[in-house]
Amino acid sequence: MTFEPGKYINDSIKAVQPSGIRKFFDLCAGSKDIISLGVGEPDFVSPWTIREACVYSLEKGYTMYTSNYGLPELRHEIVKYMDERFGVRYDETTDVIVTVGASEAIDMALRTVLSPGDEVLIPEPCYVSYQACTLMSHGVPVSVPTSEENEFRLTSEDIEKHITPRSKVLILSFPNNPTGAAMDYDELTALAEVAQKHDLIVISDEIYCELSYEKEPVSVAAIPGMKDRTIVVSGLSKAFAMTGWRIGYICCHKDFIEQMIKIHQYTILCAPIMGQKAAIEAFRNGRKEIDKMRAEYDHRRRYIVERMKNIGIDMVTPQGAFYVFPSIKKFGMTSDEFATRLLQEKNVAVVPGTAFGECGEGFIRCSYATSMKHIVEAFNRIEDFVNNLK
Amino acid sequence: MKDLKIGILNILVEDSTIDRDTLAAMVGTDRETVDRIIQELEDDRIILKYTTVVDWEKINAESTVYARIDVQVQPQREVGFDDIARRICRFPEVKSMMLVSGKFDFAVMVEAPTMMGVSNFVSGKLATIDGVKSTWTNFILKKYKENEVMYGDEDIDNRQVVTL
Repeated sequence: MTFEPGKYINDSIKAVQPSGIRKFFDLCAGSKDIISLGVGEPDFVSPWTIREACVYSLEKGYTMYTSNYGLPELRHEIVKYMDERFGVRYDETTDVIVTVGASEAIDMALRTVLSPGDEVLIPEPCYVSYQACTLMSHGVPVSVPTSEENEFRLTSEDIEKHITPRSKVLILSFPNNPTGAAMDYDELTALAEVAQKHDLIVISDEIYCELSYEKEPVSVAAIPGMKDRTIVVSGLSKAFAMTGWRIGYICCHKDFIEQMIKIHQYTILCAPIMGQKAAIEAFRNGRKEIDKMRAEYDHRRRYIVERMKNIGIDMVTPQGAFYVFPSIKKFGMTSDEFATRLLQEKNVAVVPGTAFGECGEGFIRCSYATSMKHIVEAFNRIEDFVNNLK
Repeated sequence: MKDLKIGILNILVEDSTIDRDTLAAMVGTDRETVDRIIQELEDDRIILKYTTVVDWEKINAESTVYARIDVQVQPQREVGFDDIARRICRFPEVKSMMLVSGKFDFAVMVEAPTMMGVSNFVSGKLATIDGVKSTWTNFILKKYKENEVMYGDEDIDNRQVVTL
């Protein structure tokens, strides 16, 4: 009798779609001279002071487990940061868990609050893990499309249209990957009212908060009445250019933390101590580097907005993160066709908008986490490509 | 306007050869404004010079000897250190110079074709200036970083080509 592994697979895992960019990996493999605008992580290396702190901690023999919650000094820094930067006060002994990146935090938050059949409102286009983690937690993802007309910001009406008696969680992720949309205090306050009215828990992914260019970053938890019902998820990957360190965190009400810590301690135990040591240094001495990197991203963003305008590609001006999300509808191709042809004909890699949800059709995501030299050359090629289409 | 000027300067410090249209787009203004601001910065001697950081060892150029000379001087009434500093600065061998705290007063960066050239400059020119009390010559053995640039190979981008 032939053994068939496939029939033993959990249905909720089967339901998760694989990443939509596999094809682009394959197309890029072996090609030279590719300029990639498809990378979702900073092009900066982690600042030296952070790397050096990690090396020092290894030399001193910090190679052991930490508390499941994370090192007390790091939790102290996280709580201090949330207070000073966003005006939200947490208790470092009861309200924080240091996680393996924001990704673990998102998974853990959803697993903690979802029972089978609970619905999760997910504004799209969005980062790919929200839907997958919802399915893996036996929840039901409910797509809430945002539109170019609203500059990809979420409105109360957008949410209201998708509310049902099973609605339990609203995910917010601003500044947004892939659109670069950001929301200010008043706009978030309007959404908070909907969350309170329908008794929703908000999972707020604030990983790109430090990369806000035109508006002061706001934590959803800072809005009156929202702290207790908001699970703040963030990390050091984007702002401090520390993607590979895998250090994130969750801040929320202690009753959530008490349950979440069970998932964390039985599956992860703790985030790696060397990354936690580096993160302490990042919070204490990394502010200047954040500002420098943000200024550089902003220069690139402004340049791209101008180039897109001159090339004749329609685009909402992004206000955060390091992505632009231009419309390619006028060229009569799907996102996938456009991205594939751009890669094959001009060696420029971008990501089709559909990788971030169905409403991403007609758009592509271009990352500006790459050098100005590459950005200038990439847009020269995009201009050639588009001119040939006209 | 001050923020715009600082934005332009930060970009030029990183790459002074940058195309002016690109620069204008990066700071969110037009080409004419950028041209005008740069002209002002040059006229006000805020931008002093456009230069290039070179790793001379890589092209086997004629050898150059670098040294940092620590100089102790007697400051003078009314002018303090400035008068004597200007005298020292004017020598072409002096590439940069700073007033420093500590045992010595000036750190003077000197270049010459040979060690003898450095030695002759220090003993023949620098040490004999009125007011110079003592000098301490430190030859530079190897340069690792200059103007924020590390000598050696360019960093390689090891990131995956596409990530979400």
